[in-house]
Amino acid sequence: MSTLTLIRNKDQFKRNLTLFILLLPGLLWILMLIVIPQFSMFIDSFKFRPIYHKKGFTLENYAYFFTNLLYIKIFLKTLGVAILITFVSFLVCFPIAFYIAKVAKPDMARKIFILVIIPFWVSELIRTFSWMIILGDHGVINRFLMMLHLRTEPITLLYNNFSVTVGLVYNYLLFMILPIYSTLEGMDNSLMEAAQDLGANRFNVMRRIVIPYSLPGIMSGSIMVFMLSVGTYIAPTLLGGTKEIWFTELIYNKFFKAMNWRLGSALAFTLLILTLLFIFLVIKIAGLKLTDVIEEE
Amino acid sequence: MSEVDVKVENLVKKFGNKIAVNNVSFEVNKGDFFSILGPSGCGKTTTLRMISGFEVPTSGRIWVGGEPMEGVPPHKRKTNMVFQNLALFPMMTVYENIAFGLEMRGESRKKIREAVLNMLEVINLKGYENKRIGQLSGGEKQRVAIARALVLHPTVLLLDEPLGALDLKLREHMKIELKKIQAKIGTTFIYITHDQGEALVMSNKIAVMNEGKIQQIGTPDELYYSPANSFVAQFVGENNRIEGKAVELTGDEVVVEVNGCKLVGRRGKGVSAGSTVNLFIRPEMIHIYSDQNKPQTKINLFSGTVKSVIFEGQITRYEVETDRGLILNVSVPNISKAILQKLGTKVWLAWDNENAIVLPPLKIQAGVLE
Repeated sequence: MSTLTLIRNKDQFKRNLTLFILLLPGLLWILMLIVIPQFSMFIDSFKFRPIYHKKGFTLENYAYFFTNLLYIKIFLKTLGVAILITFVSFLVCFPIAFYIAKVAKPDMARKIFILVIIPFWVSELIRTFSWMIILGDHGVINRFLMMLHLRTEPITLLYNNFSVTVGLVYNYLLFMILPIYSTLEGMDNSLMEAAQDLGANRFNVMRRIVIPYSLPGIMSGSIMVFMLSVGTYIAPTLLGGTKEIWFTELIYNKFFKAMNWRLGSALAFTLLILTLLFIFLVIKIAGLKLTDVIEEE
Repeated sequence: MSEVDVKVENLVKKFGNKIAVNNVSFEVNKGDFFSILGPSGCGKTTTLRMISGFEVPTSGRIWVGGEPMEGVPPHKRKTNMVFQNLALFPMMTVYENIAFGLEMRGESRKKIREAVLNMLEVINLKGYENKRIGQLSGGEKQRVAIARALVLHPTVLLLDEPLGALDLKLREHMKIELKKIQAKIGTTFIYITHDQGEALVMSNKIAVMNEGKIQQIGTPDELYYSPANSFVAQFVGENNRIEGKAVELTGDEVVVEVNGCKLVGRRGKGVSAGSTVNLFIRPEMIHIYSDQNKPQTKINLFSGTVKSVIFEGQITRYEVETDRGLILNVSVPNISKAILQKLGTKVWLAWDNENAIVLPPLKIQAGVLE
């Protein structure tokens, strides 16, 4: 080895060391607060319940979920409402993203962007509370309807799947708008003109060109909204009330009410793995590759 | 008498205060390869977009296949367009791209399949149906874009500088290819370009546009040999421009005085005695003689010095500075090695009267409504 390569290697080593030192806090953070707790939870989920005083590993906690009809029901309900939320979110966000990316003039687009972003400077908790003010029996909507004498009794808008859907769609608006916007932004306007030129009306331009083109963005936004919805705790607890229990509430109850951490861990991993499987399935059906969806970010 | 496929009458388009297209009228006959040639910003693309329906004219009328186009949206017009950037649908295969228009028309699957496969044969891309757009080369994309539009059998195919993005060699090849496809299909083409070479090679009729106005409409040779004004003379092909004063008008000829020297050329439209004029003479129409071979003629004769020599194989280009200070470009076909002139040598330049044309100079601010 010549001196030159030695020097070069030394430089390389120095550079790598600097990089390592810079990355260290972040890596430690991830290791201590995410990897280790998750790993210990994962191990825990295979242990016997404390009351049995048994050592070794078991699938008992997982079996508990799969044999308990109520848990499965809550899981499926959570999944179902999360799908609904994702779909509603798409319906609400797609036109907004399209408008910002393709219709609005740059100045107008910036203003709309700001309007969309500002609410996210406020915490999720506050945003959820504000929905309670809007949707409650004595909330803004009901008062308004009664003031106009359209209703004599308030409509129940709060503490059901409706209020959970409304709240979560709103909470995750940005996660749907941004990826769709970024794919549409990259789309050449002449594609729409070309489709029109070839005989497509407005509806067909949307259906055949704009939506397929932005599919990676739509999928990426949908996955985020879906995962966040499935895994959220605040909004379903506050807006869903006691009647509509979310799967995360079940996990919370196992941990902090029943003090059964092992079952809680098993439920948490069941949720994670089943939702991941569900997402892979959907990506497969949409005919996309995982990388297509991730590259959108 | 041939049928008129596209007729445009007194077309005007304003964007705010700016007049993009200023009173444009022309007719395109069935089967024509009609080019609109002009520098960028001359309004040629806007004209095309009005024919295709993407822009609404401020005033004026358009007919396609004899039908007036007022209020007809783009998707209902019998025009199809090949876009500058092609605008192929990247999420679809070649087959799906070409089939798109037919599907929108609601044709049967069988009919679509037949038409698409037939079209792929026309453009020499048999077996490409399942390829993705990203897998194609520039020239192949080009042909798919043309096929996608032609498969609908439009009354007229509109092409908006489709060769602009290609490299030089491919562009040369596609010029020929396009002309072949047009000859095979017989569809009327309206072709937009800023490249006079493209327009000359492909078209049988060219409209030269500048600052929103049509300058001249004619066959390529008409434009080349009989330009209607100084703009056309300078824009189409290479030309030497010599500014002077029209001193004498005799029949179809004009005597132009330049620095006390008298030149003669054909009299173009709008030349009057005593006015400032441009005399145009094309480089290949100037004869070059070595110092000892002084030609007999007295008019249109200069002596000068060779300032640069560019040997291009078929021809040699010379830049000659005359003794009176004019710089003239001369190109000479290399019919034998003996005629080559060396840098710095004295030469004689001469041309025949009928090969030079005398035209009034360009009006300042020609784009303003008169």
